[in-house]
Amino acid sequence: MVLNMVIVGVGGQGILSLARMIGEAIIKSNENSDINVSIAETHGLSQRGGSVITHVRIGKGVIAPTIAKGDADIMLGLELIESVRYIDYLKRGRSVAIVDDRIIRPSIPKIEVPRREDALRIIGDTTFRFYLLKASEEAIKKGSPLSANMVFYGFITYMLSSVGLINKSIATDLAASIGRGRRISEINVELYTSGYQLASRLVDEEVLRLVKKSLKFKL
Amino acid sequence: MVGFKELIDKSNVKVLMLGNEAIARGALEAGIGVATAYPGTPSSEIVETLMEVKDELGIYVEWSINEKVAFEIAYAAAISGIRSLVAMKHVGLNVAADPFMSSAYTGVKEGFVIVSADDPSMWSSQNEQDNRLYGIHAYVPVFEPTIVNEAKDLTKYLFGLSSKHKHPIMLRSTTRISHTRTPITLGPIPRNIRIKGKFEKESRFVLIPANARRNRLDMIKRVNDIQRDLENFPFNGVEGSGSKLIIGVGISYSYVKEVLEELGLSNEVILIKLSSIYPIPKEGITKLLRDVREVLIVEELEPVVEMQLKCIVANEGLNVKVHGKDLVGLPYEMSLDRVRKSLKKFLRVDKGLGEPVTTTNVYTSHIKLPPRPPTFCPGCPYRSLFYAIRMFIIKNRLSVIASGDIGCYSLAYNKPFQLQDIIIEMGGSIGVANGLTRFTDDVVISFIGDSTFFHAGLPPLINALINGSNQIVVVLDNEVTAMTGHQPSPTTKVKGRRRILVEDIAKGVGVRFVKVVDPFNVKEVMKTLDDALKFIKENKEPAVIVAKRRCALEVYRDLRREGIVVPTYVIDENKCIACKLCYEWFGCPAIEPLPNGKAKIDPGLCVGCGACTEICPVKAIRPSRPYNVEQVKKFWF
Repeated sequence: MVLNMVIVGVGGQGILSLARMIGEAIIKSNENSDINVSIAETHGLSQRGGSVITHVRIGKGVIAPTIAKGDADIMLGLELIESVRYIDYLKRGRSVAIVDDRIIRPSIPKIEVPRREDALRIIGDTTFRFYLLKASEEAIKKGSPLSANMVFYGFITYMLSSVGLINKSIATDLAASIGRGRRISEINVELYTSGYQLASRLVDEEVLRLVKKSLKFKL
Repeated sequence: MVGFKELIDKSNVKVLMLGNEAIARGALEAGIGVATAYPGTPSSEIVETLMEVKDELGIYVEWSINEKVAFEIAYAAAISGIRSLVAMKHVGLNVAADPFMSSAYTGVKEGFVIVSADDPSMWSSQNEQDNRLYGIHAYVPVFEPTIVNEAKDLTKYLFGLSSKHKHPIMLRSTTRISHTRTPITLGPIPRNIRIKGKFEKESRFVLIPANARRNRLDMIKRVNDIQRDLENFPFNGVEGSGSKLIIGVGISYSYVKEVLEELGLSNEVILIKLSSIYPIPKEGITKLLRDVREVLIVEELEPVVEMQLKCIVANEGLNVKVHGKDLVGLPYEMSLDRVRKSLKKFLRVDKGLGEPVTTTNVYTSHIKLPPRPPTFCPGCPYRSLFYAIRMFIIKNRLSVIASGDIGCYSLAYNKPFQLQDIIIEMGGSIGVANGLTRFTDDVVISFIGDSTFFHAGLPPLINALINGSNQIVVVLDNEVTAMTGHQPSPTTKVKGRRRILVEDIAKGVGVRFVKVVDPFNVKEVMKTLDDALKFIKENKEPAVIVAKRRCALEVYRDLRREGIVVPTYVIDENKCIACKLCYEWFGCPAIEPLPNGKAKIDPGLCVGCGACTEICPVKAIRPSRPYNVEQVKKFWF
């Protein structure tokens, strides 16, 4: 069947690259299968620091390009406000959110930014399991703020390789091929690895069962 | 990740491709020799992709000055015997409508495919006009992919169809097709494509009335011939059986197919997969209509297929109830949820609809979220420019109408600038201002980007001169078509190509007040506006200010390529007086307020442009470490 994933955040955070890496990893890992992947991107106007949602659909039953509200199994949220904005895409109580602990203030004068605790509460209330990452913080510390998406790529690679959708070594090779220059490439792989390791410590059987159920895989 | 260029000689492999790349690949596999476009979301990546491989394949690809010229060039190829493609966003076809209409009258000699990328839901557009209607209007047959994965093969096939009937064909895409990535199986690309043809003189190419009258009959015949061919069109299909019929039109088919499978009803209704939108395969559809009592047409936007079908039902005297827009709704793009709801009504099923989304089980958050409209990027020269203009207006207590246009500067509509009072179309800024200066007493400033200026800004500027429109024209020259993904504009420095400067054009057509300013220099911009205001009042004619500084995204890309790392900036909290100018009036995303009202720069967002140092009244902003300012500055111009 279909695994529905939304990737949300602020234009410029590397959401399209993240979606594409996940898609490429799946296609390359399943060359002889009829598994379909569909990634509906947001381009143009929405990229300039605006709110962004990308629909990633994986599975043999995928035909349509977008996900309906209430149908998503997984959210990768690169920013807290945006994660709350698109929270109603998730299956209530039966979904997993992986969210960066970061708030980017919209650059509009005199706006009120929601409190971090409120955002976390809403995400927690909606999901079956909710992982809060320090991806941006780590990426900035390493000197490549735009590489925060690699932590997410590592995290989701662990989850999807655990259910047999992604071949880890293919995903790792892809991680190493991203970014200009050796320094950035190295940081990318380090962040990818840290995301992968984090997931291997945190993601339990119950979460994997949830993912498998969506895919209806006989494993 | 593998680039498009590395795939040229690959075939029989499956790769993940954007819909637009798939369309480009399909055109290459069909053996096109020429492709042209003016960029516009969601169409831009088609010709962008072809641009990447043009040298390797020896084909001709160009970014043209606007859609009309792009159309004419591709048309010239097609009437000289070379397969060609022209791509544009839906509203681009308004600009190219003139040659589009005529091309159907003359016909072509080789395959000619016009790609119209429409934007249902208006993700990046001023309207959601349905260009399938243009096809009917112009006698140009229209086709749409029904599944994103089929975009490539459909494109390829349409070139053959166009060649066979010597008639232009429209491939209509939408945002969700153009911007969705799916696995595509590659076919071979023919090599040694001819890009020199032969134009054979024929009277059909000369649309004087006598020839046009004859062409009109030939055109009708060609479209009828094509309609007959569509009875066996490989991208249409019929599935299932039953007493009810559903027609999934274009991409809506994919949604219908998925919902029927979800409901387990695939075998209880007949589903037509319809890729040929105009004309529709009349005989096949009539035959199916004879055996059913009810039909539902699921299509996005206008009832294009619905109207054609209703004609068949009326003409053939069929006893079929036709549903469409009554159940599916008119505006915005299709979604699984919309299809679930309309199928539920049409099939009168209440259960087994999976878990339909209703207001009761969608979890809506209970906190108020701030909006996040797109904004000028950190480092964008437009931010400084609009800041200076806003300050100028406040200082002089002016009543100003900001006549806006299409481009990144449209974002100045939002707070804090609010300097786009009218945005309707490409080139509309100067054109509408021609009227506003005459019919109002306000100061009228028109804003237009460099690419838009060359696309449609010249005739209204000349009009302003000859008819005396006293507007201040601000040309925002960032030396690129930025909004659509950095395609070159005439002011871009491109090796081996002539560069045309806005200021030269303005002087050349006779504008007497032409000034070039650096938008980062707020004082200079305000002084120049002052001079321009005096000039237009005294002379009753337009003044042109060219605000010149390159798009920050381009500058930082170039700096990265050169290995130059620019430090971020920091605010000295002891110096900051909490005046709020930087985060409330300047609005850089990298500057945040602290609880005490002072400002802080987010090192994760700051790019180190230093534009904010110009607006800080107490000079509290400085680079986090010293660097070679002059070396970096060169990249900005």
